[in-house]
Amino acid sequence: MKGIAVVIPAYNEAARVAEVALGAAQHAEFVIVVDDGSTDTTWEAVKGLSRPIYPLRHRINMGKGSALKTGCAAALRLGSEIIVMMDADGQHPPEYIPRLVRHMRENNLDFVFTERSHGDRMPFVRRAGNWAVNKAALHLFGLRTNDVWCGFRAFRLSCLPAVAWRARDYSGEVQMALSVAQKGIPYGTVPIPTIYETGAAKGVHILHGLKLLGQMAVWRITL
Amino acid sequence: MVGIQLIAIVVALAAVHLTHLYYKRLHFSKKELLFWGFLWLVFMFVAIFPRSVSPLTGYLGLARPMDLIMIIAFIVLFSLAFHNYVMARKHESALERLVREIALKDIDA
Repeated sequence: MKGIAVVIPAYNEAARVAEVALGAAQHAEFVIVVDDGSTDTTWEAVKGLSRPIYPLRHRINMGKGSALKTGCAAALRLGSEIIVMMDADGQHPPEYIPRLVRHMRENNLDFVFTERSHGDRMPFVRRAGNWAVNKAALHLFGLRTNDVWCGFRAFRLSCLPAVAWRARDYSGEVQMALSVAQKGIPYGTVPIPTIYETGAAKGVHILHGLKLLGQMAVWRITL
Repeated sequence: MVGIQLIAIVVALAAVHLTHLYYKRLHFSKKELLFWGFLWLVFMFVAIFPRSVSPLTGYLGLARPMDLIMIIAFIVLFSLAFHNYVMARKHESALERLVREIALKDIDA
């Protein structure tokens, strides 16, 4: 076991992905960037980066959940002990990676979520969507975090089989979070600042939120 | 002959033509050619002679031949929808596996 692997799924993030990967590389032994079939120059932006950055490429767009699966499989092959997931759009500050890992180790946890401060900087529709998903996660699964949807999280590789997700799209992250509560995995939360200068979440709108709530009801039975 | 019968015959003839075309382009095997060709010919026959299915409608307790055709059409449509769904899921999974395996080759290199 050789420490921390950061997994960064990237889709059309040419402008920021290299900066995010280089920032993460200061705090981890491995940084795995999975270009999920981007149509811009994301791949060109990361393919030349040297170790500890490992650029991988999905030839076609498969979805964030699928890119995360590839990243975790790579982390497994590299033999890392802890996986940190973060977005490629600069929304998650890499300097918080040590804080997540420290919180996990000091409290003997297997999984650490992050919670964005839901202040005025988060768009109202997203805040409402987050609120609904968090409430559903609490009442259906007993998951106590106020940011189920946040993609910045850390966990021990040993608990990957228990939290493995099937969804290929963005809902994979939520499915993973719900498995944590469902399987009784010890978890904690770390607050992080909200960074929204980078723009709204790509392709996520109110219908996705409603679909996700429906999926959560199904997962309550099937997970 | 009523309009709906004419439309059914035109659709069936077009389908027979396409079935033959797909066979010639090697998209269909001989078995598929025979299966779909037979199916569309039966469809055409029933469209021209709807009374030919009267013994069957009587046996099943249906009032009109059209009821039988509609029921069969629904069964076929639902079966095809289910089959297509299963195949699409299967292909999606296979595609995902393939895309991920190709991506992971870079880590092994």
